[in-house]
Amino acid sequence: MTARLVACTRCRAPLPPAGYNAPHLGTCACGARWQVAVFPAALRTPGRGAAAETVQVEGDAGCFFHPAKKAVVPCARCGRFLCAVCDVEFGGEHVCPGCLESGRKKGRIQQLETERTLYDSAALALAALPMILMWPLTFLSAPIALYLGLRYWNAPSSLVPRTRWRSVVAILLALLQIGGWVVLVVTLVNR
Amino acid sequence: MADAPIPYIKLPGRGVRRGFLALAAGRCSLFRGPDHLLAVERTIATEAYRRFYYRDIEAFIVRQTARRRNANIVLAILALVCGGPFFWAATQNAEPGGWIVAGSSFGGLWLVLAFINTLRGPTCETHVRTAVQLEALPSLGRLRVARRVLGILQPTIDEAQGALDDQAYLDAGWTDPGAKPVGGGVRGPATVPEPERLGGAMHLGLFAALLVGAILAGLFSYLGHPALLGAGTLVMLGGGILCVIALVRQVGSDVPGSVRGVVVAAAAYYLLGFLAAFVFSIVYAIRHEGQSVVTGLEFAGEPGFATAAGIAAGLAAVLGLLGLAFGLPHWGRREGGAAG
Repeated sequence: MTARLVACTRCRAPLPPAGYNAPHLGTCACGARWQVAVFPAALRTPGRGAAAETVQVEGDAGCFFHPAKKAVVPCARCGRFLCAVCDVEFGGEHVCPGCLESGRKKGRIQQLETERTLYDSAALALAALPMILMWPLTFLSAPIALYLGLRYWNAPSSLVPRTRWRSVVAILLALLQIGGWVVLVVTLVNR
Repeated sequence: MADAPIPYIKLPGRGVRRGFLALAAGRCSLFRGPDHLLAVERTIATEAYRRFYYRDIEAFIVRQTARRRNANIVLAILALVCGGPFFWAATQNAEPGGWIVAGSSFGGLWLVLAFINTLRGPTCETHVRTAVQLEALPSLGRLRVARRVLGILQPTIDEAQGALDDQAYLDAGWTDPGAKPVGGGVRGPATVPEPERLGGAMHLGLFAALLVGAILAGLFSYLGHPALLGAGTLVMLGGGILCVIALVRQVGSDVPGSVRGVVVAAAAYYLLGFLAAFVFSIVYAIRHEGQSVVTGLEFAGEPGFATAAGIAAGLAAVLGLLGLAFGLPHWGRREGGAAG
């Protein structure tokens, strides 16, 4: 079998294997200068999916989802018996599609998360941007920033390492702005 | 029960993926996980994640681009547009000092950016290919950074995928001799660059400049002679340039973390120094009814300047000594090793 060649990312023409993993930049016919690092996965033939065995002997455990198919492993999360088709190996565990889906929906499986809201960044943006761009807006934005900073103080933030300085700065800025408004209102009332 | 947090390690480089509007631009960075590479794209208040499992990565494709040259052209035009009129006005004016300072400030800013852009090295676009996708990695936008990241990832990916023998390579139809395995593995050594070995001239020059500047500033605060101030200003300018070069060149190099830290602190010191000089110029102009500062020697008699110079001298001396204390053993040992 011939492996798929790596293509130029500008003209999509296949790049010659002679230049793969070379120390210098190669030149494509389109003029683009490129360097390619190829790994063994590029040369592997795709494997065929496992087929589930049919229950042969009475007493053999059947799959929870396909009772006629022989169970090969229990789900590590819910304990249901799974056939080779239903078994999903994920993060070193064998789980069923149901647990995988519910874990994804509830955000319990980090490796399935594709997006997170950064409440600390939102609070900081709300605390800082109106102050710079249009300060009267801080009358509304400061309480919201303070709420976000406090409400989501313990909420899971980014998947990657991240400190709490944004929340701290947002809360301090919001408090200062609220204090400023209070002073302004009190001064105007007493005048 | 929720999973335990996955330990991620930040990889060098950051970039921007342009959206429909400039505001929608996502800041991208890469993290190394235990069994996958995590591409993070951050907008104002959200983070999106893409995972590339080491066992699935087929190739990284790096293509050199002309972005650095184009950016330099734009920056040069901006320097000309912003600084040119002031220099033209200087030629028309009997007292050109203020115009020259203004032109240098407004035009010089863009030239400094062009200089930094040049020093950061050639630009590129990097893509990662798996069996079912080809994704851009905007954080690997400089050739030097892309090569460094590939060097970091290569052992991990090789470990996850295992090595292929020569036969598997030939069976796949890649019979070109240039692509044959080097040293028994499929991968050649080229994409696994060693960290760049810096000679250390820029770093040691910077630390020396800090020390010389400290001595000159100390002498000035004690003797108050304007010549010392002039020499100190020149040394500070030279040190600032060396600092920028050292900052850029130490990316992807074997410079120890302690020396890097001193260089970053020196950059902050110079930045604060230039800002302080700017503030002093404004104060001087206010106190002397619009007279502008041309050479810096005008500061010599200003109240409080000698004290500020003394403090700056102390800071520069500490940074210079720290830099030499961390840097000399590193470069000295390497020289010794090389000689041996």
